[in-house]
Amino acid sequence: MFSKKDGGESATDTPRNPTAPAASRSPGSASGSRAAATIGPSIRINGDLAGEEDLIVEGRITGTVELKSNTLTIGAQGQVEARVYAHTILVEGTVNGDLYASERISIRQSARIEGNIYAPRISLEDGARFRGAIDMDTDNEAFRKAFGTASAKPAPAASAEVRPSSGSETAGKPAKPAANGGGSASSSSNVA
Amino acid sequence: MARDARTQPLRVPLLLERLDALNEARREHWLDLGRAQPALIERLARGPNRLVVADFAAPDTERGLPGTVPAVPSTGFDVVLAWDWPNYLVPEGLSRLGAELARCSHAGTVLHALIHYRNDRMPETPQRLRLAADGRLDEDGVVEHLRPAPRYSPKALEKAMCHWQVDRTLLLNNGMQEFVLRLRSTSAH
Repeated sequence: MFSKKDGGESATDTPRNPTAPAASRSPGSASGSRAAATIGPSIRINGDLAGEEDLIVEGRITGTVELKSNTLTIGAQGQVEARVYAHTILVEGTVNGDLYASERISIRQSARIEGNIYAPRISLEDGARFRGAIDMDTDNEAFRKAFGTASAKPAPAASAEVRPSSGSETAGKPAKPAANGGGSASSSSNVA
Repeated sequence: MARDARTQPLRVPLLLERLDALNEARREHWLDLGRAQPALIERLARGPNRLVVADFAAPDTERGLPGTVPAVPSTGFDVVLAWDWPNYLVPEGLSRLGAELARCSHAGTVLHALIHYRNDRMPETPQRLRLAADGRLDEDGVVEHLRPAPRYSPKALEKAMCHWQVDRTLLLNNGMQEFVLRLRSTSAH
């Protein structure tokens, strides 16, 4: 149920390219059409980071990350000390902070997380280290504050993932905001 | 160890019963003193529950908890999973563990534990006990050394952990006894 390739996830839908230069584009965006931007291993960001495209972090981020309609992948070399809001969050590296995902959080075997996680679907591979709270109820104040509304609950269909099947709401991704053309990430951060 | 001769998979019926009783309408707060377990998360995610993982590797023999419990809910936990920890605590450590856990619980909170009871020897260190997706309980690692087991009886547990009373027990096929204790109403904080 929690094998490395479960839930339809694979290297193909969680693009990683640790050797890519900072802010490069790697092929195969998790959200489909666009390639994900990559923050390379030598990059450090202090501050708030927001955007409307998928992002892979192999560097270090301290502050806040908001990719509410997109996928954030914290790669094996990535170190995030931040509050993170994203549509989907994949963790292979180190996180110290709270993670909010409107769709799913996947914690891989190599992950080290200290903080609280909030998502309607959560999967964790055996061997991953986690300390904190896992909240499977997205119909609460914290989630509403983060995403403006409670997350759509998953349908009760069989899945390899963790799914709270409460309520009668329909499953699926929340609607994305209108495309902004370039969709590039914005940041009020200090890049070192 | 009798475990080597065990042919049947180890199951923890009392814990499984509690997990099976979870429903989508009721939110429960669970505390796992050990490490994060995929199958436990999967089970709890069938409802709007909240699981706190303390990620402690082992108890402190005399102090009980080796650190602070994170993210304690204001209402207290409904269920606490102590796994095989009590076996590795002296009575004073058990007493401190019981008191610490009582502080983050409420009247009726359930404390689940596994006690080496039939065998007088047990692994030198706590095992990483993992609930599998099919309800089996897996024990990680090779046991190289054994040590005497305290073989706490229900009465001995209640005496050491005075805030808690034994609710149910069940002898498992590996010689461990599965315990469900409840926080006494007079001990609720």
